[in-house]
Amino acid sequence: MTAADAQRPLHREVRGGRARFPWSRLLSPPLISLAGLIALWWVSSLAQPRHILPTPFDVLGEIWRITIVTGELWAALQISLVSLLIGGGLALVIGVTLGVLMGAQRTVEHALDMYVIGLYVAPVSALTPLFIFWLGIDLAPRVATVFVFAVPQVIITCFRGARSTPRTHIQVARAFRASNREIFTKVIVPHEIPYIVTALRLGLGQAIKGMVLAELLVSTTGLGLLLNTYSQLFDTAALIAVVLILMFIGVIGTALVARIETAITPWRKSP
Amino acid sequence: MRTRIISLVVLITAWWAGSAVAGDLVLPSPATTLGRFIDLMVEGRLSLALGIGLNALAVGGGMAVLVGVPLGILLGVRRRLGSAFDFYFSALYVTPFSAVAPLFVLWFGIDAGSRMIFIFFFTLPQIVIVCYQGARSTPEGLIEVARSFQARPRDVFFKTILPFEVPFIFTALRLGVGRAVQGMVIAELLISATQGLGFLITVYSATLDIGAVLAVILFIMMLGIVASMLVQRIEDAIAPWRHGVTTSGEASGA
Repeated sequence: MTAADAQRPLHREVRGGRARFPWSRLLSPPLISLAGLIALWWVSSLAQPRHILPTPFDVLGEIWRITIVTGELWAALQISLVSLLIGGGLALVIGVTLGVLMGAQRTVEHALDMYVIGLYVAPVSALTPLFIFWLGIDLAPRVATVFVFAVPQVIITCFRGARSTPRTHIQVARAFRASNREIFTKVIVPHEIPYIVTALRLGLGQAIKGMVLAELLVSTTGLGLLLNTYSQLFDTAALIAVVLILMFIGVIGTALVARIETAITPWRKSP
Repeated sequence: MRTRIISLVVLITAWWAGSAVAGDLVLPSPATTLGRFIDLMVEGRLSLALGIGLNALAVGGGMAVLVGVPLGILLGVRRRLGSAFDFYFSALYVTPFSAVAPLFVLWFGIDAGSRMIFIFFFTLPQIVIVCYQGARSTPEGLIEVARSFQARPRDVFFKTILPFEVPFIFTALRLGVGRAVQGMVIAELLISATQGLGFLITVYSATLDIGAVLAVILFIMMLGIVASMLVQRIEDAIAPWRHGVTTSGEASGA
């Protein structure tokens, strides 16, 4: 935090009057569009039965019910978050290592790039039935799904970071007789750090998606069971409530990591 | 290239050894998988399922491109619109969209139309976001130079922002193809369950025909990879200066 504070005066000087958060200018268009969207939803829900399209107030009531009154969401979320943490953590550790190695070493890159790109573009959700067959219907297949969802993203982001190290920086280091190891630890790795945070942000999004997909396909506990129960009961309002809360968690989670990202690399801040 | 061949040989050997240890029922050997793949091809089940999937993919993904590219550019050029609406696309993008599948079943049923709509909404945010970022990241300096040469806003758009945007559109296409294939599989696993590739996976894993499951999964993965590589080729041909920026660019260049 202190590093960010130290940056701030310079920041204010450079960006002039924009240092204070321009609430009136930035916040009003999203607010207007949000109000418009909710109004549209409300109006169109009036003509539909509740089990097809509930009103925003129905959904608000359901959010209140599942979070405060019965608290069933938290119980379900807790179970799901375990798979997110284990799978996501594994993906981060393994992904950063492999990504940096691939960026720094052509041999490693050529040995692995096919599979990483393959996993990245391939529909990994197809693997979940296989995980269920191999690993049962407990925690393991969900962890595996989260892992394969997140790890290609992490590897590719870290790979790009390591590869995008400016050639001139490496040449200067070489000219000063830096060894290969020094080039790796003192040029490539420092250049890599913001990319690791980016990888964390993108990987987190992927991990949450993997978690929800695994929940829906395994659906013996946690959020999957909750969503399945609601859809079988035609409780659309509760279904939308859970979806909105999951969206919210995804947005807040990535926004938090994005905050860290800008704190670490203020020069990359977008206008 | 040699390293790639060695790593492939190592992988297949490991697969073979693993299936020898675990047994053909749990982990079918490469030969069994290949055999089941040929069976499925000869029976025509795979191509039938593929046809159904690709149809939904083409319609849903195509609509996402047609809507997403102009929308992304519009949001990027009109800052006020962008700040009003970019939030929804980044929210949709980070959202675990498969959670919406039960809702889609309620709203649109379980037929191909429902899957098309799913694929559309699944692919759209990816395309909008990349095009949006492209239009926004046009260097301010270029725009200022154009302005100082008395370019009208229309000229700035067509002669500065749009040319800068082209490689981003292809990136959006490439990422969009991958995402649409993913959306297709998720849609088939969660929405239809009566036909298509996802259905084949469900059926064969229920009947413990893991060789067939592996064959279908590997086939789908190959499909996604080949599609992305094709778009990458086009991207390289159109915007060669960006070559080498991405991983797959490295792959196709080596």
